[in-house]
Amino acid sequence: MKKVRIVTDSTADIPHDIVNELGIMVIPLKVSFGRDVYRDGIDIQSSEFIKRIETEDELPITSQPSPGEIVAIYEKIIDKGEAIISIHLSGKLSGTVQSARTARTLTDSRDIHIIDSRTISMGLGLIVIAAAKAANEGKSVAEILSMINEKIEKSFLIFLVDTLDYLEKGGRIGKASAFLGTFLKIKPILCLDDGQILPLERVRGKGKALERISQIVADKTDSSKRYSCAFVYGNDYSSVIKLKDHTHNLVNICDEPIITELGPVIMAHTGPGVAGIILCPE
Amino acid sequence: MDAENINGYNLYNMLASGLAALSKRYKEVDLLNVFPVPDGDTGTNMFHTLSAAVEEAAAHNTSSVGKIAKAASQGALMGARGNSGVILSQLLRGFAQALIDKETITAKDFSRALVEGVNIAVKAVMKPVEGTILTVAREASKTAVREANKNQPLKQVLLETCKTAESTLMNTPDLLPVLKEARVVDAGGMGWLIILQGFYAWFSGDSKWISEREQYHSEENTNKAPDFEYPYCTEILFKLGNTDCEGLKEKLMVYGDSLLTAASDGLFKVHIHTDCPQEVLGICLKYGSLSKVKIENMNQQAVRKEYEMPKKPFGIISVASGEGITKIMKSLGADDIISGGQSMNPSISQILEKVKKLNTDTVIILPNNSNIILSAKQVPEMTGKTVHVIPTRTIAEGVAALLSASPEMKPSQVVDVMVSAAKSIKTGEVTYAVRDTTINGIEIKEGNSIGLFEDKVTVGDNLNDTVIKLLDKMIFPDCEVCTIYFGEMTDKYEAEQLASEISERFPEIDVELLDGGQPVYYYIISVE
Repeated sequence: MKKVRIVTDSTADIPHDIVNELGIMVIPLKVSFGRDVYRDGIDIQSSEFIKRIETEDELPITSQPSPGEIVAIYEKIIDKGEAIISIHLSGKLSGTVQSARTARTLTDSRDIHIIDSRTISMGLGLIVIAAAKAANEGKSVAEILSMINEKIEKSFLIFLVDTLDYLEKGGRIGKASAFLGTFLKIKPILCLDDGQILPLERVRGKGKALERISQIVADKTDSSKRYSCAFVYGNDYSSVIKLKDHTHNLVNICDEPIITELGPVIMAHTGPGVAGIILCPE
Repeated sequence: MDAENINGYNLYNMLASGLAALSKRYKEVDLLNVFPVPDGDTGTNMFHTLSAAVEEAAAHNTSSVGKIAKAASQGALMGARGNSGVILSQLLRGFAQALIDKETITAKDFSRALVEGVNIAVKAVMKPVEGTILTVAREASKTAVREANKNQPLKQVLLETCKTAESTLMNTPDLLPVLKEARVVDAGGMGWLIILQGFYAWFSGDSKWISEREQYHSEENTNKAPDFEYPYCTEILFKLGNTDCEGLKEKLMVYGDSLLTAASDGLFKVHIHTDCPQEVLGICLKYGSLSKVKIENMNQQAVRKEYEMPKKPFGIISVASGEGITKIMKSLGADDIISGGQSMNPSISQILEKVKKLNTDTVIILPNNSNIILSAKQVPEMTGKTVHVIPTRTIAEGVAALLSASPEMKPSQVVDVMVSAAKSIKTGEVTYAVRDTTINGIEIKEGNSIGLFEDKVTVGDNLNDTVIKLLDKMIFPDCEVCTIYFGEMTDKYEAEQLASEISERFPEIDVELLDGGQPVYYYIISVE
């Protein structure tokens, strides 16, 4: 049986040490300021990116990897005789999964499986990590695919943003944003639902919003089950630590969570000041 | 150049001409973007993708069509940006595959290559949707094959191809509702049309025939039902006077269509669709006295049918005074506003009327004043609708209640959520004394500012001092947000000064100043 290699993209926000340890292949998306194009997480890191958006007048533009770039990566894996499961961010938010599907048609391999995770960031990251662990344990493609599909159904991602400006300007929230009102400075609590970003509740004050997220998480989790958990943030570590402290009930149902900063491409659409939590049943 | 045989250099020049056309107009294409990810960069992405294709082709100095096409295809694949770029790269890929090993090609080869491009592009898309670049490219390629089979030269084939591409493009809003809603044609389809026009421009040497439409946005809302030429359905029943009705029908005919007339028992009935019902009425008046007239605007009827919204599970009516407060409440989801508040309480019948008018079976009322709560509570028994009154005592409590509601909630759930949200907020109000008085040993002169919080009165040396003293009583540990609505009696500049004073005094609190425009109160202040 062929060894399975897990491929994802840079929007999974998986910490580098985990990527290396599990042998995950990460395809970078791109972010550009004017004519300067950077590969997400390779040519530009979150800290530089935040400095850059503070000084630039124009918002950065993000773009999916081209099919050609993905083929180059797939071919290296195929040459090693491995099968590929390629898991990507929601097709409703990016064309990356489309590029991957096109790339597959450019190779002769029948062992490339493309999956739309219908989520983003560590929502995608936790699924990829679980898949990579299963692949390293020698699980078959079929077993890994069915596990991935189950996790996509059951995992959830809840986050808040400091301002809706970025999501609105990037077109990633659409009409639902009308619900969030235009006059008050609201901290919107958002979630990923069927691959789209939807507003869940509107709260005033970041502290109150973080408390509310922890309540929602408590309501959504089952104390008899085990979960893997991740916290994500953008340029506001203290908020995500507060969120972690609020969600103390998770100690009993999760191993040590991964805490990681959003990469430039995701942050280009959310803005800094994000705090979020992802839970994925084991 | 031999008109019938295209070599690699020719093909390269055509591609470069396509790129030149796109480079002039890709920003127009960007403006059309609505699908699938509303980035507004379809044109830019197609431009970058085609640039990469032409650049790669330029690196191959060869007269072989197959090699140039392959190079362009490779370049597009590596340089593809965005979904539209990926699809463009696939159109070029199929095109190249069809021409592989060809040194020179004819119009027939070229048109078949266009078809192969569409085949490959359709396969690359998970769920092909009609009304996109794929539709435009497919229809255009069919025309290309048809024209080429007539042994037309490539120049003529491309001209007809472009015409089909354009008419298909104009039809995309009818195939794809999101386009219709956004009142645009498909962006990717327009990009492909521009590229095809660029190919043609290389042959023709000029691009004058190309209809450089300013924009492919439609002027009017295409979602509207088609306008009737004679919009007024007019029915007139009249008693015939001394004259008979001879010649009436002929006179009316020129005013519209669908004319029907009938007479019985001295009554005469006219039915006509017209654009000038007043003229029709005038004519009928000459024949007798009107007994019944019915005029309906069919355009409005048609529109109404199309826009009928599904009934919401619940509606919210909020009592408010002040333009700013009204706007804020509407932006937060209040379906209707009852004008009123302190010293101008709406009557029960005014509230009832609004409840009846709202197109929902369940209605939630926010009285936003302690003197209105009781009136509002009378309403549920007076109507067949399910009415809930959230006992909000202040405008700020009303805002908090509105904020907590979400249209996805069930009516039973939303009432609980709103009640507890209203309780979670503290409100202070700053107004003026209407007469001289003494409260808690403090002498208050008529017109002095006074602060009210939980039935207690606060008095300061001046307006700002009153506000600060009031806030000292209101603010509690962990308090995060302070919202100040300034009223119609308050100067905006002074309010801004006060807000920054408060920010300095309570640095840990987020202060938000809003123009409430309310009467009676200089300031309504909430902390949460």
